[in-house]
Amino acid sequence: MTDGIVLAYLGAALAIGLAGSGSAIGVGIAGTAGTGIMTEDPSKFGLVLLLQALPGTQGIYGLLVGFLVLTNIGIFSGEPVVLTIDQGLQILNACLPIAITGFFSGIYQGKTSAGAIGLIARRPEETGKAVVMPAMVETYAVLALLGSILLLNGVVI
Amino acid sequence: MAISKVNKFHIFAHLSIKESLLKELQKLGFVEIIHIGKKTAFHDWKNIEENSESDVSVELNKVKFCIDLLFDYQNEDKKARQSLFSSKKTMDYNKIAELFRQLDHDRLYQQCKELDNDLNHIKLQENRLKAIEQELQDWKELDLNLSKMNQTKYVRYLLGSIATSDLETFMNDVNGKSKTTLVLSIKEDKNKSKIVVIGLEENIEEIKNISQQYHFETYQYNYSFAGNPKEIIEEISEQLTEITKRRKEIEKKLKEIYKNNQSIYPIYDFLSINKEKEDTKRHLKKSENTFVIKGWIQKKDISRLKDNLKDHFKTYEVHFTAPKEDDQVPVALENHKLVKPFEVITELYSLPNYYEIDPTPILSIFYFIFFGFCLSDVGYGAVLAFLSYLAMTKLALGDGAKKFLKLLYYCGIAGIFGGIIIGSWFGDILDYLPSTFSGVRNFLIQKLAIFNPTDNPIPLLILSLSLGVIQVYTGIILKFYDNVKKGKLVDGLMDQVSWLFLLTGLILVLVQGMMPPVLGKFAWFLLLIGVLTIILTRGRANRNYLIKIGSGILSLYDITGYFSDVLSYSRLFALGLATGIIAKMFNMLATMANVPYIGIFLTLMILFIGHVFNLLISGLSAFIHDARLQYVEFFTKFYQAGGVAFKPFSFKTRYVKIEETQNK
Repeated sequence: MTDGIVLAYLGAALAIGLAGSGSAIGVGIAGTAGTGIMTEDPSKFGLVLLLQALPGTQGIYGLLVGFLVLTNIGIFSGEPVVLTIDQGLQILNACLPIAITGFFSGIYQGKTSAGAIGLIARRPEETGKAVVMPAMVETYAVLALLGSILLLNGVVI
Repeated sequence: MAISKVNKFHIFAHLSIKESLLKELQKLGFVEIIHIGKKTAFHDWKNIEENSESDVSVELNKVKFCIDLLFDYQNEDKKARQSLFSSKKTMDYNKIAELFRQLDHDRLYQQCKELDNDLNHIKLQENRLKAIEQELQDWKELDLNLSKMNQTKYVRYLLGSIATSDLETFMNDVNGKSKTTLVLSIKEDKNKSKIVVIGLEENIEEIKNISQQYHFETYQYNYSFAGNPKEIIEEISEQLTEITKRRKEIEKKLKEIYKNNQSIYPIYDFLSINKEKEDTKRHLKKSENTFVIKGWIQKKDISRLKDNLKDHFKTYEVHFTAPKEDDQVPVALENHKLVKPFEVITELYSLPNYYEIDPTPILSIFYFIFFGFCLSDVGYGAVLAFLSYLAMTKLALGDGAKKFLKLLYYCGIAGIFGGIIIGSWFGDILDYLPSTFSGVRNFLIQKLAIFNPTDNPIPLLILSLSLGVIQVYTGIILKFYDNVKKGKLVDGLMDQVSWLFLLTGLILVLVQGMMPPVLGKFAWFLLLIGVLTIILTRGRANRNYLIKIGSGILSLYDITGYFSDVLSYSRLFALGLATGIIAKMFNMLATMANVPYIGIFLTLMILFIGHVFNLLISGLSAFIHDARLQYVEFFTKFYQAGGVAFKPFSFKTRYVKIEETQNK
């Protein structure tokens, strides 16, 4: 049986697609809040952009895991390895942490970022705290990334 | 190396030296003046009347108006230079005062105000003319004197627009009703047509009725310009040229004013200094002949203050006291210049309470190391260090921005070290070098690098977690130190040392397999001491023995807290790995751009954009996650925030640096 590569592809696609969607939604939520603030005070552009960018990391983590999968199965080197269904499933499973956590944490980090943007609108001196709040949500995306990397590392090809 | 010691001071002096004394204090710039307060012996002394405060504010606003207006009329190159690259000019206070006397700023303000009004007026006029011109463009082909068109005895004109599709039926309709009426189409486009209806006075009502059925929209010309539309448009464009000419003249005048009145910048600073001085007078109180100033001063500056006062004044008395319990003492951090930039991180959270520990020196070490782990790329670290060094030395920036850039500079250096350890140079760019360099590559990656996280991630992960253990321990030990310093040694032993025993024991038990069996027993022993102390002492505030023991057992649950704290440090590993993998990804994409002829440019472009992007993203998350580890995992162990910053009464300037005047 050598169809495992299809499952590995599915894993990479889920990691990139779901985590990316989470980030897109999150960045969108934060961006809506940010443009609202900037109609009042355009000089806050830099800060708002920073906070809007925070939920964007999940997408990058997802891409990173997808990329690792593709490198591991030799897509870039032009000689794809032969995978069994079992190995393919292992890779698919390894992708799930960042796919699932990336999707949800991206959305919630976006909401927290939107809140933080509201905070700096009223109290610009509290920027430090405003930046840390969304990072609390991101912790779980980082942990999921860690999980995915460790799981992938355990797959024997 | 910590929080600077602060004393309270009172100065009593004769009213005659009020101004000069305040000026001297402001020039010295190291005392903070605060309000006398209600509960002191001087509460029934009188306020200093604010005689000229409003004047200074008004003058300041006038000068500010001129500066804002003239800002747009500088020479272009000068504007760029002034905002970024020129550092503040140093000027003598007395010289600025002299400039201030020389400049008739009231007249300047009047001039600017007038010119500004003119500009606004012109702008309004211009908009109006353009609107009229726009309207008349549609009627350009109509050869009819608009202002006189309905003044004749018999003929009436009707101007307006109608749907183009209705035009023909409308014409027929009108011609059917009265032969003497003429409908002319002036301008037709797809939807609407501009038409003029010319008829006899007696028919006009009937025509109007018909036109209403066709949704005819009447055009009313009610401007003062005379002539047919073409002539009017010509006249307007003449007036517009005139306006442009006038605007040019005004702008030239403003540029002239800007050139001749460079002194308004120092004068602005001069006035804002004076305004601060006047504002400060609110805090003072006076009796018949004396006045009193109360404030804070850092202990190290006390002798300087005494000397300076002695040199300049005679009729005064100064008095220092240590801060009392209920005082809200302002906090000034004082650190070695290597550590100073890391105060930014502490301040971002909150200043420490005056009576607590300044975490900055210890935080700086951790922050540096952690940043290195998170960025962990020699290339990115070098770029970050180089750029921030460049910005720090070349740009004219305030002290706050300089401090931040210096922090970034250190962070960049940390990134270089992190990169060397895991052998990451712009990701894996060394692998793409021609084989002649393979010696260098092998040295850098195989000899210098200690870890290879892509092949074997576990050692680096364990190192990250170990760093976490060290920082959590440091936090607990700092709290213990704080307790001892406050004379609560027993509390410290029971609350902090017990945990140190427990955690050390727990860790040793977990890694038991790698140690000689004797140590294994020792580990269980440590663990037992820790657990027992916590169970027995945690609930010591309660009277009831059951609750004492119960809350002791419950507090063992905190182990999970410490566990998750340490696990949180795995982000160091994950973020470091992420930087490297994203960099590799871009390197690989770049080599895929194998297009003939333009391939090399495409490759370079992908490399440049990709690495800049990765540097931004990885740098940002390194900065934030590093700070988060300090705030959430480290500070919660010991840190007491809530300090108020020490704000000295000083020369705060925007455009020039003011020199201390020596000639006195």
